[in-house]
Amino acid sequence: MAENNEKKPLSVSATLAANSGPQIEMVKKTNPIFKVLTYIGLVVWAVINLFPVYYLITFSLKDNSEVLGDNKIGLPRQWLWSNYVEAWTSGRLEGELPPILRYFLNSIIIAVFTILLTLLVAVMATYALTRLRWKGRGTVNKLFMLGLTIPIHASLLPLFLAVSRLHLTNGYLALVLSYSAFALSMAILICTGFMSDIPIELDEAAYIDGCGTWGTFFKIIMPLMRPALSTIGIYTFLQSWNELLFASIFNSGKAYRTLPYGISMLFGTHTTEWGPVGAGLTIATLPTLLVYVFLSGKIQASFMAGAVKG
Amino acid sequence: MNKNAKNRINVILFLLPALILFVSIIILPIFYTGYFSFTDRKEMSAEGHLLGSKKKHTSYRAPGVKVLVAEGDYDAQAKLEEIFRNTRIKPDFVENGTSLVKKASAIAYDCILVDVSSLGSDALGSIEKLKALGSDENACKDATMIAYDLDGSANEDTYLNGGYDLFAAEALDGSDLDDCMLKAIPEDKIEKISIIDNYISIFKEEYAIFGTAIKNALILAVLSVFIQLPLALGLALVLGKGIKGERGFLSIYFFPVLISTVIIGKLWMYILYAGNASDFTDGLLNTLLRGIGIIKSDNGIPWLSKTYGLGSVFVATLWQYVGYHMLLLYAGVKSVPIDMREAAMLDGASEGQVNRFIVIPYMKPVIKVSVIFAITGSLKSYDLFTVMLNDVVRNVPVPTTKMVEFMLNDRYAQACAMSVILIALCFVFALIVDLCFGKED
Repeated sequence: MAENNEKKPLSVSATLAANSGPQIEMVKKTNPIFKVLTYIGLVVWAVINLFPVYYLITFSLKDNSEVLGDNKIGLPRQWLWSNYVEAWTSGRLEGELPPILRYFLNSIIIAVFTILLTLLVAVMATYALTRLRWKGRGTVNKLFMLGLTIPIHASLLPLFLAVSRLHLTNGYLALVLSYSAFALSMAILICTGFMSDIPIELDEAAYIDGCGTWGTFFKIIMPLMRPALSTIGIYTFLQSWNELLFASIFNSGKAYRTLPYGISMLFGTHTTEWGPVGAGLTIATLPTLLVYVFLSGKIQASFMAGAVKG
Repeated sequence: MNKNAKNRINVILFLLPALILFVSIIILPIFYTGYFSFTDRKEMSAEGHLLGSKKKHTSYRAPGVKVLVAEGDYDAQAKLEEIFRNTRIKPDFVENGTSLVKKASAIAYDCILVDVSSLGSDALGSIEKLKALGSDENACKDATMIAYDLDGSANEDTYLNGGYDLFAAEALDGSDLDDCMLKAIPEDKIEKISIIDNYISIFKEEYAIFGTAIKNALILAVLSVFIQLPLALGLALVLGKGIKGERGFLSIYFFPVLISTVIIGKLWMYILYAGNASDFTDGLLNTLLRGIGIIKSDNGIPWLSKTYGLGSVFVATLWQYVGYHMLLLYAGVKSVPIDMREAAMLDGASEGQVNRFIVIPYMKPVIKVSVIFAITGSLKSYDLFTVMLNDVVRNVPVPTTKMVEFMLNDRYAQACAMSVILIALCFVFALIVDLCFGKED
């Protein structure tokens, strides 16, 4: 069952792709000129998507005379790897991790804990909202769905006052809790879609076999929710990985900055040398880029599953 | 234990973590935001006054009231001026007893404040001198005399017996002084502050320009819905049909979504950088435009300035989020049952007709989600504005940047009023979109 569910988004698209091509063309041939134009359009947009990244990587290896001079677009004449050394060590204190690495680790730690907390809490809540029968569950569900439209900034000020009073600034807890709370609505929405696909007969069978509510939840529901977990994981990750405002106000201390805020502060606002800044940006992008290159299919499938279920 | 009670306990246990998280991080803070937005605590310090504080400032406003303050300490003068700012009172300051008497005999003040800690014995001496003056020489014979100290060490009774009407301890703390001032100021000179004062001031005050901020956010929303979404929909339709290289294109288009917004902002900042061609400081786009002859002069187009800033941020937003919406919509295209498509094709429908009459109506729910995300996303946009426009952002405001600016300047109540408006806008637009899509069904 779990395997079956997991492959669903991929296999559906695969059969679609296989079916639609030849059969449809038999019915009505697409105008070849139109087809060529479509391809040109697609390629142009792909170039627009890739070019800034190419530009970033090349200018991270140049010095100012090239970036701003006569070699803006071409490959660097001299490959200045020293830019990377400079970006890596910039602002580094004796005996400490390089700032970029520190920020990166902070972001990872926060993202991982946010995802774990969101998953657990959301699946439990969804179980109560969809599988258990009680009065008022519709209302509670609506309450959670309010979170989809509420902008995260609206609770910033009271939260900040509370967080600074509890001395939770410059730590992980405040950000993890905030991000989880704001990811919760989407997670519950996606979870509901997945959980309603699990036949209720399974619960009943488990009950007859002597499984209690908790047993059913951990032994039957949780394993079957695995595909949902990766989907929720993707959405939660995107949110917590990119967030700047909360991160900049809660964790402004150097040791706990996340990647977005850290990067924006790393070189100050008016750096004259472009190369090292470009190198810093590249270093910060690279890990995500590598993960994406290897897992792009899976990431997209999970993301799309969320779109359809939600 | 009966089964029903057990079931109820289970429900509570399963729901509790989510509820606690949701209520404590989202619902309660938003209620506080709403509550703050109606208070007058513009100077409230960040050290936390979540529920009733001792530093509560009474809200009153009395622009016509004349106040004389005898204060020997310049720091304290500045702080007092700050305290009085909200009340619109502009106090005159004197530094010692002699000038106090001189000034008080010339101008008719409503209220005279004397700092007993910095004036010392002068505080009692000068009031005696004032009272000793004849009624035609003393312009301030009706004025209320208030003694105050800064550290709470002065003896209240000494001054009340010495001729003062009122005494305020630890005046810089505010609350005591406010009480005294309310007693001292003639009632007809006090202006009532309306409860929505913060909401009015953020639109009226010159530096707040919240109206412009909302206008900018709405422009962004319109651009997103009418440029970004059609582009994403087009890509999704073309790719969803199943063409060669589908997966590759999909991966490339989705990829910017995974890059951190700050990095994207910085990158576009460099691409759009405007310098001067003659001293080799021009950015990429300006050089390209010069290459094809659009820019003739040495100075490039200042893409990140007040005039073009909004457009530039939109371009970066477009670059970042088209992939996001495309994949959402692509999932919608893929969810169209294959037989519906085939049936239409067999009936002789062209590709455009299939898209228009079969695919798009079928994927309406996904389009709705996309539209709502695009609009609320534009209303909430913050990162790209602060990163790309760092210095200019004051002049190209959006609601969130204004809110943060006010928050960092300790003008909390107004910042809260802004976020209340922001929440309201998000809900209103979500509702409007809901209605628009509901009608067509």
